[in-house]
Amino acid sequence: MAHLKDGTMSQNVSPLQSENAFSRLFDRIKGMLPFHLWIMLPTIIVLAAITIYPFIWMIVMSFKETAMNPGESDIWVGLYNYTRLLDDEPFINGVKLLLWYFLLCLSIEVLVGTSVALLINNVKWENFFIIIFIMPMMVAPIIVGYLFRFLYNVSFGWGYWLLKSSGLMSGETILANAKPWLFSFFPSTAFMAVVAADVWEWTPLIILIVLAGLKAVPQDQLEAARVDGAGPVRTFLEVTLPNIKSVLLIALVVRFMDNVRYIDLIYVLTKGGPADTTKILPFYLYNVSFRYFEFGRGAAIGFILLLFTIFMGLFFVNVVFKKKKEVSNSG
Amino acid sequence: MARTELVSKAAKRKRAFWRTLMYIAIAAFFLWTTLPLLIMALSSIKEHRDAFQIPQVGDWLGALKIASFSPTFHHYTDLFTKEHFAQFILNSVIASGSASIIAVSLGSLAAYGLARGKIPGEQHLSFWILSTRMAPVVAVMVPLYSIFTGLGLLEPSRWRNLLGLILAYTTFDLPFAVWFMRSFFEDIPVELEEAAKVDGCSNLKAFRKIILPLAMPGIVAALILCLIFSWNDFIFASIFGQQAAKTLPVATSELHSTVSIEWGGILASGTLLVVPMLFLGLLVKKYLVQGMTMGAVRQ
Repeated sequence: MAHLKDGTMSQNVSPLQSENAFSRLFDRIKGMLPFHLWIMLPTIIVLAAITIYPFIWMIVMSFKETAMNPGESDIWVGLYNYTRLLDDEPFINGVKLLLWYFLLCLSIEVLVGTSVALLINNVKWENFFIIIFIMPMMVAPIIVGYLFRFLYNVSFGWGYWLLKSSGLMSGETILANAKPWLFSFFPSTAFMAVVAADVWEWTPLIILIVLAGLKAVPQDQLEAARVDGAGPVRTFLEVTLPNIKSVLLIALVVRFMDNVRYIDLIYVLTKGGPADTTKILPFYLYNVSFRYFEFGRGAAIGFILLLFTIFMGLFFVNVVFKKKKEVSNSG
Repeated sequence: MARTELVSKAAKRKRAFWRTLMYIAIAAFFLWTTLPLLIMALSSIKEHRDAFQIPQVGDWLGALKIASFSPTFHHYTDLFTKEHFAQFILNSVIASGSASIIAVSLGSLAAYGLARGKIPGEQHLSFWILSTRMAPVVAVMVPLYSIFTGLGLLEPSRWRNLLGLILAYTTFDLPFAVWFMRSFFEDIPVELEEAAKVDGCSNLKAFRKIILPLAMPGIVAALILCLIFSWNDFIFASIFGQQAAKTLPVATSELHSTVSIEWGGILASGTLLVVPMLFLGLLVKKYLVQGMTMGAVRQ
């Protein structure tokens, strides 16, 4: 009670001795870091707890072989988890398929996305189209997987019916270990089916990103190209493309990362099959860790994947910071 | 006079040709985007025998029969009466809601600090924050699994599993929120807070009274985007949610057993999962590109 009284008094009269000591201590702690670092501290602590510790754990674990039975303890195996990957057939297969996955998804998405963005840019119904194109991105990847599995079904799938009716497909099933028509060096049709689902969901993202880039193309440059009599193709190559280059690059990196991040589609559509033809590296890792529960081997593969994304992340940050500098220099 | 008319006529015809071609391309992409969703929604209100009806190969007109059926909602009601979907939806809401709120409250502070402070090694710090978001889910899950086991978060108890899920979602929501909101804080002129500080505001008060209200659109957008990301997650939930805290996507996947696939239920539950996200997506339409590119591209 007396304390409370002191507290209320201190507002009008000079502060009391004890309170002074407290506030001085408080000020000293406050002064240890600048304000901006103080407010970042909670985030830094939380992120450190959920990233740095797991990161170290992962490196340590990758040198061990996980005990399979209760009561046993993990064994140190040194670099064995890494060296054995060199002749681990599914691992090499996974890397190869992951590269295919990047190549096919990214090239189709960027080509189609950029074209559609160019087509609907400044069209009367542009806003309506944007609203429609947002929809696939909002669908949970696992539902995209089920939806396409439904469409691919041999006896009641509309996608199957369409492919058959239009004569685009000669095989009996879509999710098969057959080579697609004309492209015998390609991965299986099942793989193409997974790519198609990914393209369905994420091409709209490229459209939106490119549209945002197109709005930033300086109008006077386009005007100058028109006055000079440049056709649409030349205008695109010499005016538009250089202006949307950095935006396209960011789009590519973002899709790149998400392609490694998510395995939901494959989990539903093919579970890595048939005959491992869709078992891209992240999905193989999922199997090693959560089906065979070989955490040591999983940690080694995970670490390699992580290094790969860290590399891509560095690239991304460099592009972003460079873009920022350009903006602040010109502004 | 006559000559210009002639030229413009040929030019007009050429333009009309390209224009039709353009409309056809747009229409084709439009159909490709919308038809799968339409088929999902339609099939979810059909009896199985209607949903599984497709025309003969090559029978293009027969495709119109897709619209002839008598609607039924029993796939939806079954989800709630035969399965426990009300509880699964609640789990989804709790897990994604809490993670988003945590991410946005901590993230807005950090984003402001990152935007304003002249921090040495700012680029490294932001890269580190980004890398936690971009790391492959499966690679992150292996160590988290072992840590969560140690913390007892994988015991078969609903609240423990939910807590684990919230933590797991924070691993990607928090770095996202920081990166996304940073550009919003950068847009607010520094002069505003400086003026407030001249008037005797403390740093924190200036942040609360001046900056936060101005950054509100960005904060709300960040919250909604976090909600979308964590609501749509499947892989984390399938491992950390275990059996006691099944979220909607996991429950959907369990309608697909080794014996059969309950298509009616899956499509109905898929529709339930998607519709709220479509609304949220429209709400943040303006910020979607910025969100999906971690704030790197502005609309």
